[in-house]
Amino acid sequence: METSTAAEKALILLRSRICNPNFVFSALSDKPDSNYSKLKFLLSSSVTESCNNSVLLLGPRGCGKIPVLELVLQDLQSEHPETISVVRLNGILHSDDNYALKEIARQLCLEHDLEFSKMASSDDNSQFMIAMLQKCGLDHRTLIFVLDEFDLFTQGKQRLLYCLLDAMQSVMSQAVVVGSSCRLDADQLLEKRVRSRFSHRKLLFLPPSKEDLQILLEHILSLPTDSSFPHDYVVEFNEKVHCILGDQRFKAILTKLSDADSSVNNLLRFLFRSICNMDLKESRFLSIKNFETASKSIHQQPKLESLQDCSTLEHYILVCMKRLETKEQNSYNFNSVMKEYKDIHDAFPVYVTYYERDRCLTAFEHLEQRGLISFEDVRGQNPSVQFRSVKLLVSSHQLQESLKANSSSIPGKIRTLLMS
Amino acid sequence: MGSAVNDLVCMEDGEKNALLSSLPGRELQILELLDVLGPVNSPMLPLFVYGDASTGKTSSILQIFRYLKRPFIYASCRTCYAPRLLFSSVKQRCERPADGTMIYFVFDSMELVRKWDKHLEITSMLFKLYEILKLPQVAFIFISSASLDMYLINTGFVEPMQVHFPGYKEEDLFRIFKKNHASQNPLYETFLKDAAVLGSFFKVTSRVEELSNAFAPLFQKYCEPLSVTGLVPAEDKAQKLNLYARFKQNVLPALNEMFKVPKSADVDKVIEFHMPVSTKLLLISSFLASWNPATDDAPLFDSFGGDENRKRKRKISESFKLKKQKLIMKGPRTFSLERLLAIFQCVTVAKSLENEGQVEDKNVFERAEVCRADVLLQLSTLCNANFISKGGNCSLKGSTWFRCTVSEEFVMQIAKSVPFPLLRYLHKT
Repeated sequence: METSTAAEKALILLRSRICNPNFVFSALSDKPDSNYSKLKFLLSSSVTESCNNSVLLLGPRGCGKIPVLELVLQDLQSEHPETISVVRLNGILHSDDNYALKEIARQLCLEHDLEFSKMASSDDNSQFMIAMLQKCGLDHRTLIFVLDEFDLFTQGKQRLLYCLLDAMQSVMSQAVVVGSSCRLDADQLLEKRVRSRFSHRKLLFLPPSKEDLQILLEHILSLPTDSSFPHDYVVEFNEKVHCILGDQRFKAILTKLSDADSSVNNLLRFLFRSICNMDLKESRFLSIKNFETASKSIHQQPKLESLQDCSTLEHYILVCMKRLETKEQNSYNFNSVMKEYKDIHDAFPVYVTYYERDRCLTAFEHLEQRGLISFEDVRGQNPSVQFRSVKLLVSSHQLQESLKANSSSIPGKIRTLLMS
Repeated sequence: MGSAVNDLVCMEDGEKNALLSSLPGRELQILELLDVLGPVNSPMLPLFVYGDASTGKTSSILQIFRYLKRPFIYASCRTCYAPRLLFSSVKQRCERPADGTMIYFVFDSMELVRKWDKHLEITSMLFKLYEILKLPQVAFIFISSASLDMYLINTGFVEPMQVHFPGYKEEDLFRIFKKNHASQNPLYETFLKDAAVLGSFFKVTSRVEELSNAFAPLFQKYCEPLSVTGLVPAEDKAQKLNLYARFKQNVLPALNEMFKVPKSADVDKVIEFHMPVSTKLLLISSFLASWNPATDDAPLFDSFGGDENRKRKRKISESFKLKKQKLIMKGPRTFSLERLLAIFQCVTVAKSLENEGQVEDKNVFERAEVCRADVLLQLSTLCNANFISKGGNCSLKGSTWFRCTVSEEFVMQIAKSVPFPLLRYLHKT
């Protein structure tokens, strides 16, 4: 019983580790040439030398831009308490300049125990921001603005960016703007007046290398050898994890995974699915099988899945459409599909059952809802479904596979029809 | 102590079995979801549950939470049909003290978000909410009938974990219907299996709600002989065969029947439309205007244009196939109000018919009467009834267009009831 609760505790620990990106990326932070060290040097020098600064963190999604920044901010806040305040904005939520200024004012008020007025106008808010910048400059406090999804802030007139960067240049302020974006050309999106005020520091975040990956895996999966778990359990658990990490099968899975998407986020999703498969009652440890199951469930082909769910009638319709396409009819609609369906029914009445038009129309609409076919024109020009021209969204190979998988209910003759 | 724990485990297992048996055919998916949800108060990455319509996604999730007894907030994008409603409905139920327990947000019918304004921003925001919040006590579950590749994806999109609900197999459907109905009537099982009802319907659709709609009247028909003869349902093989023999011929028509129309004694006129004669004629003229090319109006309706018309027809027949295909593609054409009125005039006025020596001459005067009726009022009635669709911007500028949306069979029936020789005026391609 005790080991079973230990297993559950271990599972909860692993789950919370994977869900906490700060923990994950702390593994890679102690190297001297890591992004963490560079960013920390940059930010701490602006804090200690009380100067203005700006930097862009660039790199693909899920490679730890924000988690590394959060780690640095945590460290700085513990090293220089009471001298740093952070304002966090996200391009998805605050790409509108007015809302962004309001949000900045709200966070500044919260930080400095001031009363925030919801009624304040955008001008009031921007004046308030400038005043706060000035005040913080005099108090030798550093304001750090974190702009996640930086490219989305450049979509409008870039009033917020201009206002922020201009204020940093003109008033006696002490502020750092950190932008994070997955667009490598994010600085090229800036207007001229904004770009000239922006320091062109950039930090590139890349997917982890093979060695880093190994460090990450060890870091995430092995249990701590402190008193929170029974000692024997931890030793056995870590030994098993070590075995799994060295296993050739595991390495193959990992290669397959990173061939598709080598970001850390993708790895974390895979690890999460794997530890979810851990058997809490019987074996109580991770096994290579957990990882194999997870790898199967992560490599899915949605089109093929929904194709295989199709009924026989829906398959008939798809085959008819494919035949029309091989006949090089560049545009066709439900009526022409029905004509083709009737033709193949007349040719092979034994294999192809005939259903009435209304039934076929319903099946046709189901196919459209599943995203296996789609209308070419915009709705509104032609009101009824049967006249709108359609396109098939699956390849003939996929259709073949699906017919093969459903061979119990669909005669093999249909497959040959698809070829001819 | 040990026995108490064992009892607890047993009870848990019992409840789990009840959960699994409450949703037949979804055992694998439920076990997978239970694994992903994990132990109490353990954080979870965002989860995306997808599968075709009517595969038990929502009911599985709701049953699982009922079984786990964990707090969750459910919002469906179908009932909350705009972002504002969605957020306010979530916010209303959010206001509870945060005592550290996990809260699960379930967003149902996510596929509908794709049709909203600014849907790109909203989908990426919802999928990224977990990363923005950085709160381990909050978990997100998205339910969608569209797979992730059918979402238009904008920057900021973070891929969630995915669990797929495949469509039901025939055995699963059998278990579902057996569970829902067999307790009321022991014959239901034989009805599904021996009478091959499920097998033949499964070829057409595997959606549970469509099947149950189709099965209800069929089962009544199946049991009819029993109520007539007053027999008691019994496990008698001969009786079953007898029932099946009587019932057999009902299956195939039902397969093709989408809507149940109560049949009158006269099979030919299925539905009678009570419209004034003038409205019927207007509908016929609109049909002609939609399906005949405008260039053929003059020869068709002009008394002197008969010969010319025939010549042109011959020319057309050479490129017959191409034209026909084009016509099928395009569907009904649009026409202007002027053209409709002109055709209506021709249809109602006696002259064009007299010249061709019509049999229906006695109707001609009635039709001339009809001409006086308020055409525009009737046209707007037809538009409101969706027989004719209306487009364009301003009726004063004359830029309005119309299109007849009714099928040929329907117009044929209308023409028969007037009566009007429709075939003669229809452009033959």
